[in-house]
Amino acid sequence: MRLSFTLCAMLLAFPALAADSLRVAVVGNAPPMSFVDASGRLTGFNAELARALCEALDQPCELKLHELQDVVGAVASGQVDFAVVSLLATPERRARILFTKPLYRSLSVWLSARPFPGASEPTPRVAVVRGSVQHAYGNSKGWNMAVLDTHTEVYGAVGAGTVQAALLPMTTGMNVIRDPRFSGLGWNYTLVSEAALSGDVALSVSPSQPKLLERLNEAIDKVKRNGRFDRINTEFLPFRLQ
Amino acid sequence: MPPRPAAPPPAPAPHKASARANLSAGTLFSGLAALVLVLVVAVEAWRGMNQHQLLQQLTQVQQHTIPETLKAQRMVRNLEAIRLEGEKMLAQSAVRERMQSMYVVDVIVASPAVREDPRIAPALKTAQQTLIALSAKETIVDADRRAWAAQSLVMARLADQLTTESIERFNQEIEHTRRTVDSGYWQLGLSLAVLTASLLAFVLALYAVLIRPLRHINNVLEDTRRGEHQPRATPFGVLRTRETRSIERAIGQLQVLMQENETIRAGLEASANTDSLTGLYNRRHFMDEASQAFARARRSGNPLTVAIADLDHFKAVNDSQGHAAGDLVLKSVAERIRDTLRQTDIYCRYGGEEFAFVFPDTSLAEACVLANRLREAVATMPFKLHAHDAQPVTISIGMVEVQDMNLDMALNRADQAMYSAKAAGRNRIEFAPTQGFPEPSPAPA
Repeated sequence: MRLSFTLCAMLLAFPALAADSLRVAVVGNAPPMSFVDASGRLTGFNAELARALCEALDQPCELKLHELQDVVGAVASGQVDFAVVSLLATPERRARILFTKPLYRSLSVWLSARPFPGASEPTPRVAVVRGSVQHAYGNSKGWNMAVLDTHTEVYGAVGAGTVQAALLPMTTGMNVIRDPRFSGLGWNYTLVSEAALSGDVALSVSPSQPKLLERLNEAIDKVKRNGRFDRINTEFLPFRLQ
Repeated sequence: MPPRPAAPPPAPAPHKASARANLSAGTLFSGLAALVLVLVVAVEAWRGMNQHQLLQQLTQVQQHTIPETLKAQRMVRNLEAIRLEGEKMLAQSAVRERMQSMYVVDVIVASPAVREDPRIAPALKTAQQTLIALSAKETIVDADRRAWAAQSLVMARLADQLTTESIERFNQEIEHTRRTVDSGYWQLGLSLAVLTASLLAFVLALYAVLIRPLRHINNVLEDTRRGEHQPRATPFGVLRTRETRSIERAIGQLQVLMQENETIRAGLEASANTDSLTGLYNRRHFMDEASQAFARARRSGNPLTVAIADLDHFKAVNDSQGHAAGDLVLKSVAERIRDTLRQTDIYCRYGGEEFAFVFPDTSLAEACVLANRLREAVATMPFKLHAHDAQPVTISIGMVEVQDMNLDMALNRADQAMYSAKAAGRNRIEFAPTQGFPEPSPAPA
């Protein structure tokens, strides 16, 4: 009796669940991870991964564009169910939101004609994206920063010469190096693997959705096993994220 | 034919109380069922452990081997990426393009996955150094190409090694799983054997404890009903329950009772047919038996002879020596009769000191021989009727061969012949007048 009741409840619950769209936060101006292409379609590693995960979850998703600085707040408040944004799983963020299993390990890249500054060295004006770990790092060091809202603004700032350096994640940094505006500056790059600037990248999940976290972890395993993750990787990056 | 005293029937020997526990059938079979259940549960638990092991191995494959293999594949792709970027750097002279290629190489070499893997970290570090040196050069010479070709080959071999290692890891897991499944088959066979053996043991126990004793009980009761008291009656098998023992005891008691009843019945029948002093048939029973002999003789046409014997001077014995002595004499004469005559002959104590005889299938001449032998046997007894005149105990016998006469008539004729013998001097045989007489026995001297 009790079993049949549970079964009925499950049968009733699943279509209802399946009918609900998941709200997924992505950022729109961080090539090659997520960006709007020439045809106006939101794409990039994270955008395509979001679509692949929703397929693996067997549930429709609604991708919602957010500025990086708003992502953690939107996930924490339950405004979105989860975010497919390359966030390092820092202790500060873990206190506010849930993180899935790691997708890959990331580093930061220092782009400048000058070397990465030591502890007490004077720093040039550094471009960072608001809400990023690089922004938090610059704040902790008391750097002179140009805090930008999106990664694409970095291109303009670098090209206009308003900044003498940029501190970015290794993936978006790679695209800056490839940009023609970067080539004439005579800048170099330095990969930074300091603990505050590197680590596991994971998807963030609303703290009110612990079951979704489990389902997403299974979905990550699934897309990694079925090759979808690697195909997306090949599409947008010249190396394998690992 | 005189009755023989029946031997008392042997009472069933009370078998020794078994040292085994006095189990009831319910307890025994509950115990057996519990034992079988424990065996089944143990065997199934053992098989369950195998299933658990199998599940663990599959989980290991899913959670460890597959991710490790995917990781190895990504590493292989990154090794190929470094080789590709290296080739690009050799082909391009523009600093910007070289920097882009170098960036990819640096990102890969800086990744923790490379740094933490001692198999590949040194080779990639060397390749990275080679490419850093190349990226600074204005012109690429053949020596540079050869140096990079050597590095590239090392990475290609590493890629091969990672690929084959991940396949080998899978192979080992499959082999491990195959062994578990193999042992599962053995366990399945063994568990089937244990189950079959348990079932067989249960059926055997059922047979030994219930079916066999029941069949035995049935046979014994059948025998008992027919009046046969076989010593095989008990015990009812080796494995006996409390209930079986109760039935054994009850049947034993029943048999004893029935045997006692039989003994009593035989005793009563004997005393009803027997003269209590001499142990010979009494007159009533003799008349029954004799009538039957007469009927048989009439049917068969065989000869039949009837005789009456009377002790000579018996009244004088009783008077002079008392009835006890008289009884002793009567008993002794009865003994002589039993010893002398044939089993087929019918005889009884007919009256006080008078005995009657029927000799079936016997002519007068043949019967006369027997009667004469009896007369002599009595006369040679060590008794003396009168101690002073040393007169022995003697009998006078009258005989008649039965021809066209009934029993009473024959007895009457024989009685008359006996009186003739008395009159003729006693201790002799006289024949009733029928057709032709055999020679009378000579009178004793």
